[in-house]
Amino acid sequence: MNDPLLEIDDLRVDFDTRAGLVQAVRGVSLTLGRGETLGLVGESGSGKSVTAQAVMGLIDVPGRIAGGAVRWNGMPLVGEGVRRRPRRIWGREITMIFQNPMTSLNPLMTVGAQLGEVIHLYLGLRGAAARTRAAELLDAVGISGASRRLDQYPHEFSGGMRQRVMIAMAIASEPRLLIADEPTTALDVTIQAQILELLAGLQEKLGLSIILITHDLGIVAGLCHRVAVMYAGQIVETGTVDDIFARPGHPYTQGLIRSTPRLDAVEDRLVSIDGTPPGLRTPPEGCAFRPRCPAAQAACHAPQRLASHGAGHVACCRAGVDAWDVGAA
Amino acid sequence: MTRDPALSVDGLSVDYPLSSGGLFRRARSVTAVSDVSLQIAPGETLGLVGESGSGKTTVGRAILRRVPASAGRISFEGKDITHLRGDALRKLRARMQLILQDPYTSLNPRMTVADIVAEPLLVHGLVASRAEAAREVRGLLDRVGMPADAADRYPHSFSGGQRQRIGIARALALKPSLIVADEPVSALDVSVRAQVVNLMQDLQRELGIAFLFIAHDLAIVRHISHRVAIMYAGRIVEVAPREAIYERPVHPYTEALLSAVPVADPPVQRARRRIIHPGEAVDIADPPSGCRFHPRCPIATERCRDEVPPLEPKAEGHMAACWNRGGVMGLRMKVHS
Amino acid sequence: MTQARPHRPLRALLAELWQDKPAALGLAVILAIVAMAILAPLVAPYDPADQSILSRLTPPVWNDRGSWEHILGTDNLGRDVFSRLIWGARTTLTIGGLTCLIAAGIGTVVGLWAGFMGGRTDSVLMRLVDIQVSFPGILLILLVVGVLGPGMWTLIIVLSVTNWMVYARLVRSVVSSTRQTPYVEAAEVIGCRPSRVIFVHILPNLVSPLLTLLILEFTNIVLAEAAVSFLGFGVQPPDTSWGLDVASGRDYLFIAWWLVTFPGLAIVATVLSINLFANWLRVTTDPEEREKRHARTVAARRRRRGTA
Repeated sequence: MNDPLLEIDDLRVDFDTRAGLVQAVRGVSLTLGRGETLGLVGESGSGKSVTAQAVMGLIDVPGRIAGGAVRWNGMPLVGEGVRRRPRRIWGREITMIFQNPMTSLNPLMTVGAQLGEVIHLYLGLRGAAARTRAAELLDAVGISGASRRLDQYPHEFSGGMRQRVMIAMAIASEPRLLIADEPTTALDVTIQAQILELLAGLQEKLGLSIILITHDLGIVAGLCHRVAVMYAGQIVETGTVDDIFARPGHPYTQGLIRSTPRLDAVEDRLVSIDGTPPGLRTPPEGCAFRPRCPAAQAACHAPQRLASHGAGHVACCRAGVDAWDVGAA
Repeated sequence: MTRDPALSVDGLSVDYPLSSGGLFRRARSVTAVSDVSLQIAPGETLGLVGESGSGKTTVGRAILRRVPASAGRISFEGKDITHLRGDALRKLRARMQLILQDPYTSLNPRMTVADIVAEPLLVHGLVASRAEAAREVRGLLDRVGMPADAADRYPHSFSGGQRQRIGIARALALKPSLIVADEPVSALDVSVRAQVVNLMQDLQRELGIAFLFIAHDLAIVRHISHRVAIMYAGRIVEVAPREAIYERPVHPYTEALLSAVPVADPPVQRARRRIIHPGEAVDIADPPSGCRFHPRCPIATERCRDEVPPLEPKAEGHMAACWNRGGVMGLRMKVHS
Repeated sequence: MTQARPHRPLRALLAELWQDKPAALGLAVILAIVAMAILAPLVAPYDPADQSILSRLTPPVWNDRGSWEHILGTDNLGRDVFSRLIWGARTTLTIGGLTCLIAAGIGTVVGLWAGFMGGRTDSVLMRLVDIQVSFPGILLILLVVGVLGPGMWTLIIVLSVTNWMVYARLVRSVVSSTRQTPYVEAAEVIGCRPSRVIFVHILPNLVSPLLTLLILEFTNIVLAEAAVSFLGFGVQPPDTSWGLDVASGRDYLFIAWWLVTFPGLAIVATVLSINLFANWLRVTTDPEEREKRHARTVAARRRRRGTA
């Protein structure tokens, strides 16, 4: 394997809240290769967005990096050993798009002016050259009539079109990694399909690496090469997308797949994962999923480690069985 | 349908004010829902699916008499309720309830769970004493799978799924025969979604409640509904039993919608041919003429531009509004190259 | 996930206040002034209206010519400045408090009505507010004083009439946004009557924003009272008020600086303390801001421990 583009090593993020210390990310390690799309899957509070924010250097009060490191091309980016804030990487080599594009666009500036700013900042172009480039970018993200659209304001764009503008801004600096945090959650299904198609196309054309944060397994199945599943601030399973869906190794992943109703089949009754995710003020010792797991054993109280579950597939569970069959029996 | 419907809606239209209208201006309005008709049998779940701006939420609110109908008739249990007011309307509330989307904002944060669940009993004078209310609340909480000690706590100490259960308990308190569930699970985490879906199915089986299940998630709708209605830009474009809609969709919009939903199975998802139509959802303030889907439709003809297609039977129990799709047979024509 | 409530909420709150030293000082000053006003007959060494020509224009005690008999000196009629300050606090707080309550009362009723009814009622009531806002306050004061004659009660009425609009706007915006919240919709679908919806589900949301606004508005009233009394349309002698004292002291500014300085300082101290405390209160009632403040305190503590 070639050198990874991004390495996250035992990352920890804490939040100081009035109710106590919340450990939002508890020792996450991940690698991302060039041109790879990684799906980061988890529920709200699992730490997936916080992990992405840490990579982007966006952790701010009340949060703080409590340990671990993020390396970009082998160079420290976050954590120990970072001397100055590496702004040349954030926003240029790593860019990010968010769930709600309206809050990320300035309502008082035309789309062309906002794109122009980014182009000037990263490509040093001005005037007509910048405008030509901006029109090219809009064209690349599938906005027709680009030269006319450049003079419009964000409110004149629909939700899907705004997300396209955000993507255009995110790829303006010719980044190598795009972090997409629930990019289609606020959009309708037919528009979501358009945006996902666009992302897949851009990735192929530009050789982009993508970290796609989502809770929707269907989106992961269609777009990602590899998947990392997060639960209670930790990664419980990583593997190729086919492996994860065909042979999920962790009871949580298994439950997630089986509790999602499918469009192409009818189940009599959904598998339901009882209980709720643990609070991260007092994270449970051992396996965090233990209280909800139908196959939990005494050994699950001990700290768990990611164990091999096949080639390039690790899971944080030794049971290695389908917990939900065991549970039903 | 042999049974009398629990709910019957005929030609419902709803106008919304666009600008609030000042002292001297007349308010401009848009038609959010036009000419919608549907029936729900007792104990049946009708899934109402559509994208944003389709008017699905407005249909639910009009049925609950939260927004006034500008045309059409709503009958509930054989009675015309379109123009009920005052106390008669309040009495009706007891038979028709609502489950809201966001469990974080649908419970008053300043009331205990017991007060929230007991409130409907109290305002309808169904309980004589506090003790009786407490007993009822205990029964309701148990019914939705909440521990008894939840009663004295405040909503903030519960997770989303638990809060949604509390909301369901509140809706059940009045023993309604129809519940309008407006995206009841879309704000919930994936792992607790199934809990709430299962709970709703159990309740329906035991209590014979009819559901209008409003959602945009087609997979959940397929799982929970007996029949499904698809809305586009304020009109119903297709209604059919669940299997028929998902296996043999008639309307081009239904087809596109179904194909756009990703399936959580990598080989299957890669193999699926997606029909991606260009364009965005319509601007409801300025809808296209004729069939409202025609600007995005691959098989649109001259007629679609000029005339509104009626919702008409295309097969047994299967209605659709399309000029160019005659019947279920022989319509799987290749329209995409 | 059960969130344990603090066992002693008041103590926890005071501990949180103590972290913000200026706000704590502000509250202490406010409480001191309030206590002073309430206990005026007991703490004031003299009757504020007692004149003594012999000891007129005595400077404060730390001055060469000062004496312990008059700590803050006396005015041109030989009245004790300190006693006048204490009694003046009483007038100022009474006017401020009553005016705020009356104005908030009017504003809340109008705002509730407009916000709950919406539509045309809302438009009419809010235009009324706009008209009142655009009407020059000082003109109205002159008008009313001309009709009713100056005095404390006139002042309270006039200031109430010119200050209720801000409450109406706040209440209306809170009510109309609360009306949209799902739990209010749920209450209506359950079959609650409008009165129950208003009192049980909407009104409690007004408590903390109204409280914050009341406190801030109080400072405005204190300043307005001072200004009007300074102009001679407000409190009339022999009653006292800080604004009146500043006004009557201004003729002696160059020979007796203390006549203007002490009542002026009292006004500044009151207004500043209230603002410091209100700022803390605003953050405390905003859950998100409150979390951030907490995190910053923790971070500061950690840094201190790190360097120690």
